[in-house]
Amino acid sequence: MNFFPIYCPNCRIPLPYQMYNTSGPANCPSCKNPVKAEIFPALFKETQSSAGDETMLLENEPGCFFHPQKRAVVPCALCGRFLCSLCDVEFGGRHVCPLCLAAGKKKKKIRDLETHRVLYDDIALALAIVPVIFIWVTVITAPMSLYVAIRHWKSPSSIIPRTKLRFVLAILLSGVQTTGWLFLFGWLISRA
Amino acid sequence: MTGKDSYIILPGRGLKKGGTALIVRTRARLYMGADHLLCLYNTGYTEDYKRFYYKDIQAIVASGTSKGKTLNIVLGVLIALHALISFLAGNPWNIIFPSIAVFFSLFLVINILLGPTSKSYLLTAVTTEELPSLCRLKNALKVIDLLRPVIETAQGRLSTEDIRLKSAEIQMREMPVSVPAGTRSIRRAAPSSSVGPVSNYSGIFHIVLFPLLVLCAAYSAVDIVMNHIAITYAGIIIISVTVIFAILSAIKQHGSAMQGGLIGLTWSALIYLLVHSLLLYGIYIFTGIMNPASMGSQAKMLLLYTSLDPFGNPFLMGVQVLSAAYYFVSGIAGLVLLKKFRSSPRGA
Repeated sequence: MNFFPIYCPNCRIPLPYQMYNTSGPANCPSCKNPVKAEIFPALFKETQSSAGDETMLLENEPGCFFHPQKRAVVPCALCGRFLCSLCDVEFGGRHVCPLCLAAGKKKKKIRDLETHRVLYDDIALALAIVPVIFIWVTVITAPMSLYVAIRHWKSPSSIIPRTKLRFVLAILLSGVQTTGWLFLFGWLISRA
Repeated sequence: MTGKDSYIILPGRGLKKGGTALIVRTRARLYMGADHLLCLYNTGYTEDYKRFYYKDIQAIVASGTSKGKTLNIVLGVLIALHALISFLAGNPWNIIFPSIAVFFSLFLVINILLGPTSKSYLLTAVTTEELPSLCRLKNALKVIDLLRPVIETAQGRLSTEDIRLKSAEIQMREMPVSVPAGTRSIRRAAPSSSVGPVSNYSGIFHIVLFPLLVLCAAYSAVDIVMNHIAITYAGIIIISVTVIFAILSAIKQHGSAMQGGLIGLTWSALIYLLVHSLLLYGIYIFTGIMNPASMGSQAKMLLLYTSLDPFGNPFLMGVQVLSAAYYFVSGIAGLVLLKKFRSSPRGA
């Protein structure tokens, strides 16, 4: 059992169990602030023992790809390798092997393993809007915004679904700025 | 229920605390997925994700804090002071000060409408994650109500009685006999370092800082009614010493068991002291510029500055009245909070 004391987030004093799962907030005995502590059954879950992993392979039984002496319990949902209970990683409702898991994270093929994304649409839009206050800077930033918007049009954006509106706005705004600069330079050259 | 790739936005948004919080604002939001809770941190140009699978969530705890009330009091005092000054001051200050009062009133109304502030965390078998988006109690309670059914679907349901009974059993079994149930840690003695105190600082520098703030209040009040070079010198020394102690207190409180109210008060006092010093220095320089003959001598400039009468200078009057009130309120509030902290088990 890996029991953890539930403590008040405000004063960090462990809360008595009488305060768990009350219908509304109850006052903390230490800081007197209202506290709502919602406890779930996972708190009492025993750590899985590894006894099942020790099951040895019998004749005509499928063996684990990584541990040939152990009995396979499930195939990998991505590569199909047979896995013992030690190698089986249950992830997002699928059973995958550690190699596929590592490859999925590295190649960003498994969305649920991603922990970081760059928002190119926000960058393109910021490059199209913010430098406008400095006017002259847009000579550089407008083409940069156009490049980022076109180059990363198909790059994954936020994990929360969003439209391409930011890219469209960035292209429109930076397009107007770039065109303006081109006209200005053209006019200056024609005068010279 | 949500599809595999879709998320439902949960109420509440907040700013994540961190070393670069002042430079890069990291906004936090919670999303409810099909089988996990997504904690999203957005810096504006990047996003970081933390997933908590419903089957792994052990507890969600939210507690009200006094941050919102403190902010209401500070805003109320500022509004009252600016309203008062606008009555006393002549043109053009009778337009500027009411505008500032209206500006603060807007913040006050928004803060009241948002409701009481809170702190929340989520617990799994291996981590304790603070949830910055649940910084308002009503949002935290709403989110708990929304998550309860999906977590129970993933983990099964235990009645409140069963949960309390199991907790009591474990606490009784694993705790030293002499300690009453539910008052001490059991196996994992403290939460992770990100949430637990790491230093045993008991508030020595704060003991000096808050009386010094009250002394600053006295100086600001005396400076309004008396113009003497000795008072100016005393003021320079008092404010300088207070700034030093405010810096030392801000450094020492980092990682200590002090609560948000005391920490925030120390930081706000330090910021105000610096702003006040800058304003007074600005007036001192401005006075010198207006009297070029005295620019060559510091002593002459100080005498000239001392001779300024707040009753004839609404800006100086405003600064000194505001400072006297602020130093007094924060000094007294600090002493009260410090006494509470030092008498608690965390500060003992």
